[in-house]
Amino acid sequence: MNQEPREPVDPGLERSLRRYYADTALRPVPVGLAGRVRGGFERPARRGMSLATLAAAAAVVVLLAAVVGSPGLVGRGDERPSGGPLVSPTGAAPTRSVSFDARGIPTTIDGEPVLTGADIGRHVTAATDDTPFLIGGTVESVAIFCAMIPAYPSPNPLLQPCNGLQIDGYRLVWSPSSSSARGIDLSGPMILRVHVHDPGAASCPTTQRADCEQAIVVDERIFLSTTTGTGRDVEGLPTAIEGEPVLVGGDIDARVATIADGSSFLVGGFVHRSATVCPRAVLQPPVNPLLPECPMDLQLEGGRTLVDEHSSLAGFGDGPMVLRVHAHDRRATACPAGVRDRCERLLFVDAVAYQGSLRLPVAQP
Amino acid sequence: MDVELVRAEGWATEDRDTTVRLALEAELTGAYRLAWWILRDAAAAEDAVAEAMLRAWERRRSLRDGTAVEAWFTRILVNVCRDTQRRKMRSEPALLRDAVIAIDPGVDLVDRDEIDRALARLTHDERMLLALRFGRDLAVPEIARRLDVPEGTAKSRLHAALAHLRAAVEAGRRDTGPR
Repeated sequence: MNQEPREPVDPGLERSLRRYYADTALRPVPVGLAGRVRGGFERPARRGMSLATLAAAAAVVVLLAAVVGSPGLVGRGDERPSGGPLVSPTGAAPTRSVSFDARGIPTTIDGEPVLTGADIGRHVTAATDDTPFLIGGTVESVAIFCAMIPAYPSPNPLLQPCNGLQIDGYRLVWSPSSSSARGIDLSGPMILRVHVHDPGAASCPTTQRADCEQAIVVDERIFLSTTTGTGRDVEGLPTAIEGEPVLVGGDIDARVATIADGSSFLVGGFVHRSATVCPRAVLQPPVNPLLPECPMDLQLEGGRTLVDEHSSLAGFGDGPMVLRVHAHDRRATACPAGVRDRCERLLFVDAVAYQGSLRLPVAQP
Repeated sequence: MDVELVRAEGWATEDRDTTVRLALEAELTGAYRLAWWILRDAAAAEDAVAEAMLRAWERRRSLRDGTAVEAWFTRILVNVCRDTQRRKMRSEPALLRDAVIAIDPGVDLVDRDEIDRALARLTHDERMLLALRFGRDLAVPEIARRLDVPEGTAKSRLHAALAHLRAAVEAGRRDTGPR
Protein backbone atom coordinates (compact mmCIF):
# COMPACT_ATOMS: atom_id res chain seq x y z
CA MET A 1 0.00 0.00 0.00
CA ASN A 2 2.93 2.26 0.65
CA GLN A 3 3.95 3.20 -2.87
CA GLU A 4 4.62 6.86 -2.48
CA PRO A 5 8.14 7.74 -3.61
CA ARG A 6 9.59 10.32 -1.32
CA GLU A 7 12.82 11.39 0.22
CA PRO A 8 13.26 10.09 3.74
CA VAL A 9 14.02 13.01 6.00
CA ASP A 10 15.39 11.03 8.87
CA PRO A 11 15.95 7.45 7.80
CA GLY A 12 17.33 6.31 11.13
CA LEU A 13 14.38 7.65 13.02
CA GLU A 14 11.91 6.24 10.53
CA ARG A 15 13.47 2.79 10.76
CA SER A 16 13.29 3.03 14.54
CA LEU A 17 9.68 4.06 14.34
CA ARG A 18 8.78 1.16 12.11
CA ARG A 19 10.50 -1.22 14.47
CA TYR A 20 8.72 0.33 17.42
CA TYR A 21 5.32 -0.07 15.78
CA ALA A 22 6.12 -3.59 14.65
CA ASP A 23 7.05 -4.52 18.21
CA THR A 24 4.09 -2.90 19.85
CA ALA A 25 1.67 -4.25 17.26
CA LEU A 26 2.05 -7.56 19.04
CA ARG A 27 0.10 -6.12 21.95
CA PRO A 28 -2.87 -8.47 22.35
CA VAL A 29 -6.36 -7.18 21.89
CA PRO A 30 -8.11 -7.33 25.27
CA VAL A 31 -10.17 -10.39 25.87
CA GLY A 32 -13.76 -9.33 25.77
CA LEU A 33 -13.41 -6.43 23.38
CA ALA A 34 -14.76 -8.44 20.48
CA GLY A 35 -17.74 -9.55 22.56
CA ARG A 36 -18.29 -6.02 23.74
CA VAL A 37 -18.31 -4.76 20.19
CA ARG A 38 -20.57 -7.53 18.94
CA GLY A 39 -22.88 -6.86 21.84
CA GLY A 40 -23.06 -3.26 20.70
CA PHE A 41 -24.02 -4.37 17.21
CA GLU A 42 -26.90 -6.37 18.59
CA ARG A 43 -28.30 -3.84 21.00
CA PRO A 44 -31.02 -1.43 20.05
CA ALA A 45 -29.72 1.94 18.91
CA ARG A 46 -28.79 4.37 21.63
CA ARG A 47 -30.93 7.34 22.15
CA GLY A 48 -28.82 10.14 20.92
CA MET A 49 -26.26 10.29 23.70
CA SER A 50 -23.01 8.40 23.95
CA LEU A 51 -22.09 6.57 27.11
CA ALA A 52 -19.53 9.19 27.86
CA THR A 53 -22.05 11.93 27.28
CA LEU A 54 -24.51 10.21 29.55
CA ALA A 55 -21.93 9.76 32.26
CA ALA A 56 -20.76 13.33 31.90
CA ALA A 57 -24.32 14.61 31.92
CA ALA A 58 -25.06 12.62 35.04
CA ALA A 59 -22.02 14.01 36.78
CA VAL A 60 -23.01 17.53 35.78
CA VAL A 61 -26.54 16.98 37.02
CA VAL A 62 -25.26 15.71 40.34
CA LEU A 63 -22.91 18.61 40.74
CA LEU A 64 -25.46 21.16 39.65
CA ALA A 65 -28.00 19.72 42.01
CA ALA A 66 -25.52 20.00 44.79
CA VAL A 67 -23.76 23.24 44.07
CA VAL A 68 -26.40 25.42 42.46
CA GLY A 69 -28.97 24.60 45.03
CA SER A 70 -31.52 22.51 43.25
CA PRO A 71 -34.37 21.08 45.26
CA GLY A 72 -33.36 18.70 47.96
CA LEU A 73 -29.76 19.53 48.34
CA VAL A 74 -28.21 18.41 51.51
CA GLY A 75 -30.66 17.72 54.20
CA ARG A 76 -30.06 16.24 57.55
CA GLY A 77 -32.25 13.29 58.20
CA ASP A 78 -33.90 14.90 61.16
CA GLU A 79 -34.74 18.09 59.28
CA ARG A 80 -37.48 16.67 57.13
CA PRO A 81 -41.07 17.58 57.84
CA SER A 82 -42.61 14.87 59.93
CA GLY A 83 -44.80 12.54 57.93
CA GLY A 84 -44.06 14.35 54.70
CA PRO A 85 -41.68 13.58 51.91
CA LEU A 86 -38.13 13.00 53.00
CA VAL A 87 -36.96 15.90 50.91
CA SER A 88 -39.50 18.29 49.59
CA PRO A 89 -39.86 18.16 45.81
CA THR A 90 -40.34 21.89 45.85
CA GLY A 91 -37.03 22.50 47.46
CA ALA A 92 -37.77 22.98 51.10
CA ALA A 93 -34.44 21.53 52.11
CA PRO A 94 -31.80 24.09 52.93
CA THR A 95 -29.25 25.01 50.34
CA ARG A 96 -25.72 24.06 51.15
CA SER A 97 -22.48 24.06 49.31
CA VAL A 98 -20.92 20.72 48.66
CA SER A 99 -17.90 19.52 46.77
CA PHE A 100 -17.27 15.93 45.81
CA ASP A 101 -14.33 13.63 45.37
CA ALA A 102 -13.97 11.01 42.66
CA ARG A 103 -16.06 8.48 44.54
CA GLY A 104 -18.95 10.87 44.83
CA ILE A 105 -18.19 11.44 48.51
CA PRO A 106 -18.39 15.10 49.48
CA THR A 107 -15.06 16.55 50.52
CA THR A 108 -16.68 19.46 52.29
CA ILE A 109 -20.19 20.40 53.35
CA ASP A 110 -20.68 24.06 54.07
CA GLY A 111 -16.95 24.36 54.34
CA GLU A 112 -16.72 21.65 56.98
CA PRO A 113 -14.29 18.98 55.85
CA VAL A 114 -15.49 15.43 55.39
CA LEU A 115 -12.70 13.12 56.48
CA THR A 116 -12.15 9.94 54.52
CA GLY A 117 -9.76 7.01 54.55
CA ALA A 118 -6.64 7.37 56.62
CA ASP A 119 -7.61 10.91 57.59
CA ILE A 120 -10.32 9.39 59.76
CA GLY A 121 -7.76 7.37 61.67
CA ARG A 122 -5.45 10.35 62.03
CA HIS A 123 -8.23 12.51 63.40
CA VAL A 124 -9.37 9.81 65.81
CA THR A 125 -5.84 9.48 67.14
CA ALA A 126 -5.31 13.22 67.44
CA ALA A 127 -8.71 14.14 68.93
CA THR A 128 -8.71 15.06 72.57
CA ASP A 129 -12.42 15.62 73.16
CA ASP A 130 -15.82 14.63 71.82
CA THR A 131 -16.22 17.47 69.32
CA PRO A 132 -18.28 16.04 66.44
CA PHE A 133 -16.77 15.80 62.96
CA LEU A 134 -17.84 14.51 59.58
CA ILE A 135 -16.57 11.35 58.02
CA GLY A 136 -17.38 9.89 54.63
CA GLY A 137 -16.82 6.61 52.93
CA THR A 138 -18.36 3.33 52.11
CA VAL A 139 -20.27 1.78 54.93
CA GLU A 140 -20.41 -1.97 54.77
CA SER A 141 -21.49 -4.83 56.87
CA VAL A 142 -18.95 -7.12 58.40
CA ALA A 143 -21.55 -9.05 60.34
CA ILE A 144 -20.93 -12.24 58.42
CA PHE A 145 -17.61 -12.64 60.16
CA CYS A 146 -18.96 -12.21 63.65
CA ALA A 147 -19.65 -15.89 64.11
CA MET A 148 -15.92 -16.48 63.85
CA ILE A 149 -14.97 -13.89 66.45
CA PRO A 150 -14.91 -14.98 70.11
CA ALA A 151 -17.31 -13.04 72.26
CA TYR A 152 -15.75 -9.73 73.25
CA PRO A 153 -15.13 -9.71 76.97
CA SER A 154 -17.06 -6.56 77.66
CA PRO A 155 -20.68 -5.58 77.65
CA ASN A 156 -19.83 -1.92 77.11
CA PRO A 157 -21.75 -0.58 74.12
CA LEU A 158 -18.69 1.27 72.91
CA LEU A 159 -17.02 -2.05 72.28
CA GLN A 160 -19.10 -3.78 69.70
CA PRO A 161 -16.87 -5.79 67.45
CA CYS A 162 -19.80 -7.43 65.79
CA ASN A 163 -22.22 -4.59 65.40
CA GLY A 164 -21.79 -5.30 61.72
CA LEU A 165 -20.82 -1.98 60.24
CA GLN A 166 -17.67 -0.16 59.39
CA ILE A 167 -16.75 2.74 57.19
CA ASP A 168 -13.71 2.35 55.00
CA GLY A 169 -12.44 -0.19 57.48
CA TYR A 170 -13.17 1.83 60.64
CA ARG A 171 -15.63 0.24 63.00
CA LEU A 172 -18.68 2.28 63.86
CA VAL A 173 -20.68 2.42 67.03
CA TRP A 174 -24.18 3.78 67.14
CA SER A 175 -24.75 6.38 69.76
CA PRO A 176 -27.73 5.45 71.94
CA SER A 177 -29.09 8.92 71.30
CA SER A 178 -28.60 9.01 67.56
CA SER A 179 -32.04 8.41 66.14
CA SER A 180 -31.33 9.40 62.57
CA ALA A 181 -28.31 7.20 62.29
CA ARG A 182 -29.84 4.03 63.59
CA GLY A 183 -29.07 1.09 61.41
CA ILE A 184 -31.62 1.19 58.66
CA ASP A 185 -30.45 -0.52 55.54
CA LEU A 186 -27.04 1.03 55.92
CA SER A 187 -24.59 0.27 53.21
CA GLY A 188 -22.83 2.15 50.49
CA PRO A 189 -21.26 5.59 50.44
CA MET A 190 -22.48 7.95 53.09
CA ILE A 191 -21.61 10.82 55.33
CA LEU A 192 -21.82 10.52 59.09
CA ARG A 193 -21.41 13.00 61.89
CA VAL A 194 -19.46 11.23 64.58
CA HIS A 195 -17.47 11.80 67.71
CA VAL A 196 -14.82 10.00 69.70
CA HIS A 197 -14.02 10.23 73.40
CA ASP A 198 -17.62 9.45 74.18
CA PRO A 199 -18.47 10.14 77.84
CA GLY A 200 -19.47 6.49 78.14
CA ALA A 201 -15.80 5.56 77.85
CA ALA A 202 -15.42 6.49 81.50
CA SER A 203 -17.26 3.34 82.46
CA CYS A 204 -15.04 1.05 80.41
CA PRO A 205 -12.62 -1.21 82.21
CA THR A 206 -9.18 0.32 82.44
CA THR A 207 -7.70 -2.30 80.15
CA GLN A 208 -10.16 -1.38 77.42
CA ARG A 209 -10.35 2.35 78.07
CA ALA A 210 -8.19 3.30 75.09
CA ASP A 211 -10.40 1.31 72.73
CA CYS A 212 -13.48 2.95 74.20
CA GLU A 213 -12.01 6.45 73.90
CA GLN A 214 -11.27 5.88 70.24
CA ALA A 215 -14.57 4.24 69.36
CA ILE A 216 -16.19 6.18 66.51
CA VAL A 217 -19.67 6.94 67.71
CA VAL A 218 -22.24 7.93 65.10
CA ASP A 219 -24.43 10.90 66.02
CA GLU A 220 -26.30 11.26 62.79
CA ARG A 221 -26.30 10.44 59.16
CA ILE A 222 -26.07 13.27 56.66
CA PHE A 223 -28.21 12.83 53.59
CA LEU A 224 -27.80 14.14 50.09
CA SER A 225 -30.35 14.03 47.35
CA THR A 226 -30.50 14.81 43.68
CA THR A 227 -33.18 15.69 41.25
CA THR A 228 -33.30 15.34 37.52
CA GLY A 229 -35.26 13.94 34.64
CA THR A 230 -38.98 13.98 34.52
CA GLY A 231 -39.59 12.98 38.06
CA ARG A 232 -37.95 11.69 41.15
CA ASP A 233 -38.57 8.76 43.35
CA VAL A 234 -37.66 8.56 46.98
CA GLU A 235 -34.15 7.49 46.13
CA GLY A 236 -33.53 10.69 44.26
CA LEU A 237 -33.37 8.88 40.95
CA PRO A 238 -35.24 9.96 37.85
CA THR A 239 -38.40 8.02 37.20
CA ALA A 240 -37.90 8.34 33.47
CA ILE A 241 -35.12 9.31 31.07
CA GLU A 242 -36.10 10.73 27.72
CA GLY A 243 -39.55 9.30 28.21
CA GLU A 244 -38.36 5.79 28.96
CA PRO A 245 -39.45 4.63 32.39
CA VAL A 246 -36.88 3.70 34.98
CA LEU A 247 -37.99 0.46 36.55
CA VAL A 248 -37.40 -0.10 40.24
CA GLY A 249 -38.06 -2.83 42.75
CA GLY A 250 -40.68 -5.35 41.80
CA ASP A 251 -41.24 -3.72 38.43
CA ILE A 252 -37.83 -5.00 37.40
CA ASP A 253 -38.76 -8.55 38.28
CA ALA A 254 -42.07 -8.16 36.49
CA ARG A 255 -40.31 -6.91 33.38
CA VAL A 256 -37.89 -9.80 33.44
CA ALA A 257 -40.69 -12.27 34.02
CA THR A 258 -42.95 -11.04 31.28
CA ILE A 259 -40.60 -10.07 28.48
CA ALA A 260 -38.29 -12.89 27.59
CA ASP A 261 -36.23 -11.26 24.88
CA GLY A 262 -32.86 -9.65 25.39
CA SER A 263 -33.99 -6.10 24.77
CA SER A 264 -32.60 -3.50 27.09
CA PHE A 265 -34.44 -1.42 29.66
CA LEU A 266 -33.65 1.05 32.41
CA VAL A 267 -33.46 0.05 36.04
CA GLY A 268 -32.86 2.23 39.04
CA GLY A 269 -31.64 1.58 42.53
CA PHE A 270 -28.66 1.38 44.76
CA VAL A 271 -25.72 -0.39 43.16
CA HIS A 272 -23.46 -2.10 45.62
CA ARG A 273 -20.17 -3.89 45.21
CA SER A 274 -19.25 -6.25 47.96
CA ALA A 275 -15.92 -5.37 49.48
CA THR A 276 -15.79 -8.49 51.57
CA VAL A 277 -14.84 -12.02 50.76
CA CYS A 278 -17.72 -13.88 49.24
CA PRO A 279 -19.32 -16.09 51.88
CA ARG A 280 -18.71 -19.69 50.98
CA ALA A 281 -22.38 -20.47 51.32
CA VAL A 282 -23.29 -18.32 48.34
CA LEU A 283 -20.42 -19.18 46.03
CA GLN A 284 -21.76 -20.51 42.78
CA PRO A 285 -20.42 -23.75 41.45
CA PRO A 286 -18.78 -23.16 38.08
CA VAL A 287 -21.70 -24.66 36.20
CA ASN A 288 -21.74 -21.94 33.61
CA PRO A 289 -19.39 -19.07 32.90
CA LEU A 290 -22.34 -16.76 32.60
CA LEU A 291 -23.08 -17.01 36.28
CA PRO A 292 -20.82 -14.89 38.45
CA GLU A 293 -18.91 -16.91 40.96
CA CYS A 294 -20.26 -14.71 43.70
CA PRO A 295 -23.70 -13.23 43.05
CA MET A 296 -23.09 -10.83 45.93
CA ASP A 297 -20.13 -9.17 44.24
CA LEU A 298 -22.21 -6.67 42.33
CA GLN A 299 -25.83 -6.16 43.09
CA LEU A 300 -28.65 -3.83 42.40
CA GLU A 301 -30.81 -2.98 45.36
CA GLY A 302 -33.04 -5.86 46.33
CA GLY A 303 -30.41 -8.53 45.85
CA ARG A 304 -30.54 -8.51 42.06
CA THR A 305 -27.26 -9.75 40.68
CA LEU A 306 -25.62 -7.54 38.09
CA VAL A 307 -23.12 -8.70 35.51
CA ASP A 308 -20.83 -5.96 34.28
CA GLU A 309 -18.95 -7.66 31.48
CA HIS A 310 -17.99 -4.44 29.77
CA SER A 311 -16.81 -2.66 32.92
CA SER A 312 -19.48 -0.03 32.44
CA LEU A 313 -19.42 0.55 36.18
CA ALA A 314 -15.67 0.96 36.37
CA GLY A 315 -14.98 4.33 37.87
CA PHE A 316 -18.34 4.58 39.54
CA GLY A 317 -18.56 4.06 43.24
CA ASP A 318 -21.44 2.45 45.03
CA GLY A 319 -24.57 4.51 44.99
CA PRO A 320 -27.93 5.09 43.41
CA MET A 321 -27.83 4.74 39.67
CA VAL A 322 -29.95 4.21 36.65
CA LEU A 323 -28.54 1.47 34.47
CA ARG A 324 -29.41 0.28 31.03
CA VAL A 325 -29.51 -3.48 31.33
CA HIS A 326 -30.78 -6.53 29.57
CA ALA A 327 -31.86 -9.86 30.91
CA HIS A 328 -32.42 -13.09 28.99
CA ASP A 329 -29.00 -12.86 27.47
CA ARG A 330 -28.84 -15.12 24.45
CA ARG A 331 -26.11 -17.17 26.14
CA ALA A 332 -28.52 -18.08 28.92
CA THR A 333 -29.98 -20.79 26.72
CA ALA A 334 -26.71 -22.64 27.09
CA CYS A 335 -27.03 -22.77 30.87
CA PRO A 336 -27.86 -26.16 32.32
CA ALA A 337 -31.52 -26.62 33.12
CA GLY A 338 -30.86 -26.49 36.84
CA VAL A 339 -29.55 -22.94 36.69
CA ARG A 340 -31.25 -21.71 33.52
CA ASP A 341 -33.67 -19.56 35.42
CA ARG A 342 -30.86 -17.82 37.28
CA CYS A 343 -29.04 -17.21 34.01
CA GLU A 344 -32.14 -15.78 32.40
CA ARG A 345 -32.73 -13.38 35.27
CA LEU A 346 -29.21 -12.00 35.44
CA LEU A 347 -29.14 -8.31 34.69
CA PHE A 348 -26.34 -7.49 32.26
CA VAL A 349 -25.18 -3.92 32.50
CA ASP A 350 -25.06 -2.24 29.10
CA ALA A 351 -24.45 1.31 30.28
CA VAL A 352 -24.74 3.71 33.17
CA ALA A 353 -27.54 6.13 32.33
CA TYR A 354 -27.49 8.23 35.48
CA GLN A 355 -25.46 8.43 38.62
CA GLY A 356 -27.27 9.67 41.65
CA SER A 357 -25.74 11.14 44.73
CA LEU A 358 -25.68 9.70 48.17
CA ARG A 359 -28.75 7.91 49.15
CA LEU A 360 -31.78 9.57 50.60
CA PRO A 361 -33.03 8.29 53.89
CA VAL A 362 -35.23 5.27 53.79
CA ALA A 363 -38.66 5.98 55.12
CA GLN A 364 -39.04 4.74 58.63
CA PRO A 365 -42.22 3.15 59.79
CA MET B 1 -11.19 -14.34 -2.22
CA ASP B 2 -10.99 -10.61 -2.75
CA VAL B 3 -12.40 -8.95 0.34
CA GLU B 4 -13.27 -5.80 -1.52
CA LEU B 5 -15.16 -7.82 -4.13
CA VAL B 6 -17.13 -9.59 -1.43
CA ARG B 7 -17.95 -6.26 0.15
CA ALA B 8 -18.96 -4.77 -3.16
CA GLU B 9 -21.21 -7.74 -3.84
CA GLY B 10 -22.69 -7.61 -0.38
CA TRP B 11 -23.35 -3.96 -0.87
CA ALA B 12 -24.96 -4.59 -4.22
CA THR B 13 -27.20 -7.32 -2.86
CA GLU B 14 -28.54 -4.96 -0.23
CA ASP B 15 -27.10 -7.06 2.59
CA ARG B 16 -25.38 -3.94 3.76
CA ASP B 17 -25.65 -4.43 7.48
CA THR B 18 -23.84 -7.75 7.27
CA THR B 19 -21.23 -6.24 4.98
CA VAL B 20 -20.56 -3.36 7.34
CA ARG B 21 -20.57 -5.58 10.38
CA LEU B 22 -18.08 -8.03 8.94
CA ALA B 23 -15.88 -5.19 7.75
CA LEU B 24 -15.94 -3.56 11.16
CA GLU B 25 -15.19 -6.81 12.95
CA ALA B 26 -12.24 -7.31 10.61
CA GLU B 27 -10.96 -3.90 11.70
CA LEU B 28 -10.99 -4.71 15.38
CA THR B 29 -7.37 -5.70 15.91
CA GLY B 30 -5.96 -2.92 13.77
CA ALA B 31 -8.29 -0.43 15.39
CA TYR B 32 -7.18 -1.40 18.87
CA ARG B 33 -3.53 -1.05 17.92
CA LEU B 34 -4.10 2.32 16.34
CA ALA B 35 -6.07 3.53 19.35
CA TRP B 36 -3.36 2.31 21.69
CA TRP B 37 -0.66 4.02 19.66
CA ILE B 38 -2.59 7.25 19.81
CA LEU B 39 -3.85 7.12 23.39
CA ARG B 40 -1.05 5.09 24.95
CA ASP B 41 -3.45 3.60 27.46
CA ALA B 42 -4.87 0.10 27.12
CA ALA B 43 -8.17 0.77 28.87
CA ALA B 44 -8.73 4.02 27.04
CA ALA B 45 -7.90 2.35 23.75
CA GLU B 46 -10.35 -0.43 24.43
CA ASP B 47 -13.09 2.03 25.29
CA ALA B 48 -12.31 4.12 22.25
CA VAL B 49 -12.54 1.16 19.92
CA ALA B 50 -15.81 0.00 21.45
CA GLU B 51 -17.24 3.49 21.22
CA ALA B 52 -16.02 3.97 17.66
CA MET B 53 -17.48 0.63 16.60
CA LEU B 54 -20.80 1.57 18.12
CA ARG B 55 -20.75 5.01 16.51
CA ALA B 56 -19.90 3.46 13.17
CA TRP B 57 -22.66 0.91 13.53
CA GLU B 58 -25.19 3.55 14.38
CA ARG B 59 -24.11 5.64 11.40
CA ARG B 60 -23.82 2.76 8.95
CA ARG B 61 -26.70 4.11 6.86
CA SER B 62 -24.57 7.12 6.00
CA LEU B 63 -21.95 4.93 4.37
CA ARG B 64 -22.26 5.10 0.60
CA ASP B 65 -19.61 2.67 -0.48
CA GLY B 66 -19.16 -0.79 0.98
CA THR B 67 -15.51 -0.87 0.00
CA ALA B 68 -14.71 2.30 1.90
CA VAL B 69 -15.42 0.98 5.38
CA GLU B 70 -11.82 1.12 6.60
CA ALA B 71 -11.26 4.73 5.68
CA TRP B 72 -14.66 5.71 7.04
CA PHE B 73 -14.12 3.81 10.27
CA THR B 74 -10.62 5.21 10.74
CA ARG B 75 -12.05 8.72 10.63
CA ILE B 76 -14.58 7.77 13.29
CA LEU B 77 -11.96 6.09 15.46
CA VAL B 78 -9.59 9.02 15.19
CA ASN B 79 -12.37 11.37 16.23
CA VAL B 80 -13.27 9.19 19.18
CA CYS B 81 -9.63 9.12 20.24
CA ARG B 82 -9.59 12.90 19.99
CA ASP B 83 -12.69 13.10 22.16
CA THR B 84 -11.14 10.70 24.63
CA GLN B 85 -8.03 12.80 24.81
CA ARG B 86 -10.02 15.95 25.40
CA ARG B 87 -12.05 14.30 28.12
CA LYS B 88 -8.96 13.14 29.88
CA MET B 89 -8.04 16.81 30.06
CA ARG B 90 -4.46 15.94 30.33
CA SER B 91 -2.31 18.90 29.73
CA GLU B 92 -0.55 18.52 26.45
CA PRO B 93 3.14 17.92 26.72
CA ALA B 94 5.36 20.90 26.40
CA LEU B 95 5.11 21.85 22.78
CA LEU B 96 8.34 21.41 21.00
CA ARG B 97 7.49 23.21 17.83
CA ASP B 98 8.59 26.55 19.16
CA ALA B 99 11.78 25.25 20.58
CA VAL B 100 15.02 25.54 18.77
CA ILE B 101 15.21 22.20 17.09
CA ALA B 102 18.66 21.08 16.43
CA ILE B 103 17.98 17.99 14.43
CA ASP B 104 20.79 15.73 13.64
CA PRO B 105 19.39 13.84 10.67
CA GLY B 106 21.85 11.14 11.25
CA VAL B 107 21.13 7.52 10.70
CA ASP B 108 21.54 6.49 14.30
CA LEU B 109 18.84 4.14 15.42
CA VAL B 110 16.79 5.11 18.40
CA ASP B 111 15.89 2.41 20.84
CA ARG B 112 12.35 1.46 21.62
CA ASP B 113 12.21 3.07 25.03
CA GLU B 114 13.48 6.34 23.64
CA ILE B 115 10.85 6.26 20.92
CA ASP B 116 8.23 5.45 23.48
CA ARG B 117 9.19 8.35 25.71
CA ALA B 118 9.48 10.69 22.75
CA LEU B 119 6.04 9.72 21.44
CA ALA B 120 4.60 10.50 24.83
CA ARG B 121 5.80 14.08 24.38
CA LEU B 122 4.01 14.55 21.09
CA THR B 123 0.47 15.73 20.62
CA HIS B 124 -2.36 13.34 19.98
CA ASP B 125 -2.59 14.37 16.33
CA GLU B 126 1.12 13.89 15.79
CA ARG B 127 0.98 10.40 17.28
CA MET B 128 -2.00 9.63 15.09
CA LEU B 129 -0.16 10.66 11.92
CA LEU B 130 2.95 8.70 12.79
CA ALA B 131 0.90 5.64 13.71
CA LEU B 132 -0.96 5.73 10.42
CA ARG B 133 2.22 6.26 8.43
CA PHE B 134 4.65 3.95 10.16
CA GLY B 135 2.37 1.68 12.17
CA ARG B 136 -0.30 1.09 9.58
CA ASP B 137 2.16 1.67 6.74
CA LEU B 138 -0.24 3.90 4.86
CA ALA B 139 0.95 6.19 2.12
CA VAL B 140 0.37 9.90 2.49
CA PRO B 141 -2.55 10.04 0.00
CA GLU B 142 -4.31 7.28 1.92
CA ILE B 143 -3.68 9.03 5.23
CA ALA B 144 -5.11 12.20 3.73
CA ARG B 145 -8.18 10.29 2.57
CA ARG B 146 -8.74 8.71 5.97
CA LEU B 147 -8.35 11.97 7.80
CA ASP B 148 -10.32 13.87 5.22
CA VAL B 149 -7.63 16.50 4.73
CA PRO B 150 -5.77 17.62 1.59
CA GLU B 151 -2.76 15.53 0.70
CA GLY B 152 -0.41 18.48 1.07
CA THR B 153 -1.70 19.09 4.56
CA ALA B 154 -1.17 15.48 5.55
CA LYS B 155 2.34 15.55 4.15
CA SER B 156 3.39 18.75 5.90
CA ARG B 157 1.90 17.63 9.20
CA LEU B 158 3.68 14.34 8.90
CA HIS B 159 6.95 16.10 8.29
CA ALA B 160 6.35 18.31 11.28
CA ALA B 161 5.45 15.32 13.44
CA LEU B 162 8.69 13.60 12.50
CA ALA B 163 10.67 16.71 13.26
CA HIS B 164 8.99 17.03 16.62
CA LEU B 165 9.67 13.39 17.34
CA ARG B 166 13.32 13.86 16.57
CA ALA B 167 13.39 16.90 18.81
CA ALA B 168 11.67 14.93 21.55
CA VAL B 169 14.25 12.18 21.22
CA GLU B 170 17.04 14.71 21.49
CA ALA B 171 15.35 16.36 24.46
CA GLY B 172 14.99 12.98 26.12
CA ARG B 173 18.68 12.31 25.60
CA ARG B 174 19.58 15.63 27.11
CA ASP B 175 17.35 14.85 30.10
CA THR B 176 18.89 11.47 30.72
CA GLY B 177 22.45 12.37 29.84
CA PRO B 178 24.62 10.99 27.09
CA ARG B 179 23.98 7.44 26.03
